[in-house]
Amino acid sequence: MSTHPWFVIFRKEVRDGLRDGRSLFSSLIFCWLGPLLVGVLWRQPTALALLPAFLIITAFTGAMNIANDAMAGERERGSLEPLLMNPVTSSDLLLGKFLATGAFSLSCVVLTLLFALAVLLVTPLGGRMHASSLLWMLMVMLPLVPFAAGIDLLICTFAQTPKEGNSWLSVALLAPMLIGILAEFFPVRLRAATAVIPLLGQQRMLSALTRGELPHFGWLLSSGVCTVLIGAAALMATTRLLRNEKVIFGR
Amino acid sequence: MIQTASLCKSFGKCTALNGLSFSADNGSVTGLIGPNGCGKTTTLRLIAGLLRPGSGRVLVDGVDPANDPLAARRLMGALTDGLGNYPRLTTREHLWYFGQLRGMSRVELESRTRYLLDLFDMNEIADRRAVGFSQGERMKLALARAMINDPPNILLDEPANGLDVHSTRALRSLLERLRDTGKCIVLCSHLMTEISLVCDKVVVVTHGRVAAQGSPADLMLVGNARTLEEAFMGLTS
Repeated sequence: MSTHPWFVIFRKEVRDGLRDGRSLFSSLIFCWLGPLLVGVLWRQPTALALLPAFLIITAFTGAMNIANDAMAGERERGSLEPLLMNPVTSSDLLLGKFLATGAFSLSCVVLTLLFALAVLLVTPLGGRMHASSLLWMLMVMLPLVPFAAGIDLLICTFAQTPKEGNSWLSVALLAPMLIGILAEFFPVRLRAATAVIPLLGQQRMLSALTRGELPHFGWLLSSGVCTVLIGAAALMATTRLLRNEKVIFGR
Repeated sequence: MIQTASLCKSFGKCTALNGLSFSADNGSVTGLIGPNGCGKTTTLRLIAGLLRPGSGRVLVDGVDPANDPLAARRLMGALTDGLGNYPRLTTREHLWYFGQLRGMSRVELESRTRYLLDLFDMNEIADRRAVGFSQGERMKLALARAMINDPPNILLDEPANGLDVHSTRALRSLLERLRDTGKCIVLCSHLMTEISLVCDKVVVVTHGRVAAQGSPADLMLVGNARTLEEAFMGLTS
């Protein structure tokens, strides 16, 4: 019995990504950097406020290397054309790449939370935020995984080389960074209208969790749905682009 | 069998193909030759259904790739100009990846991989990652990958690029063997010696249309030339 093409592509991308040691190492740096900073600064009353920004950034940095290799890398190697010459639809192709990108993003988010757990256990910060809040943080972060994977893949579809892809991804990474930082300095009140804005909604809910406040279930749900929908829209746009000969051959 | 009829394709104001018509029969090697930018690679991409023709038609064993690209691609294997190997995958993993994308089962893949590794003398590099491969090894891998599911039609874009004398001879005898098993092979190359040695039919393309077609001997006769290269120069100047 033959395996479904999207799964074949997913498996190949995961294997390829795990063997790319340098990229993997750079992604892992972000996973421990945030929790480590929080741990080092534990005496500061705002130490935990760093965690939401790092968590959100990790979702993107976890996705970006594999997304870049899966799209711009294919083009630079000249492997996109032979790949598309197989009897595989662009939807299957993208689904495999999307799931692999999402798997790396999710792994990085989970690793960051595990490092944060270690910090809570070994520093007095455990008294300020209960370890169970990390599970809630995972719930808040889950919709951001397909969002980050979809957006990163869309950006990389336009790049001719991984170098160009990296430049664009670095610019795009400014969005979660700025939202994370600015939202701490200029706190936007979480309400129904702001909760549905991707990144901002998650940032405010994560921030509330660091203060020991549980997110409103309705806002968690609406924020998650909106974020996933935008990720899915990015995936659909990328699928359409991959049917465009100008995009495939960079004309 | 591959047929193209009055094939036209433009990219903006640039006309790549302007009424290209030829057919490549089963059990023969058809060479597409022409100066740089004459439309050879565009023709292969149209046959594979990666590009849609402005007008005209392609048929691959009766299937139009513009209407049903997946069905057409099941009937062909292609070696593209860029080769496109993955540096972190081994030779065997490449063959399995492309075989699985073509719907092959584990049993089929095991026997076909063994056969191709023997055929291309790649057993030594079967489990080595492609990152340090020589040009010849990369080419052999891309060729084996294109033939993983034993397709009836094979498209080859500059297959002898970077191959040493031994590998070139091996490629030639492979193409002859494939032809003898009834495959339809379309070969783009700049190497006139290769074309004259291996092709049963040569299609000379200039400015996106066929300037002449026939066997190498026919072309030499028409061009009143001693070699295919001389005939080619006469037909394309």
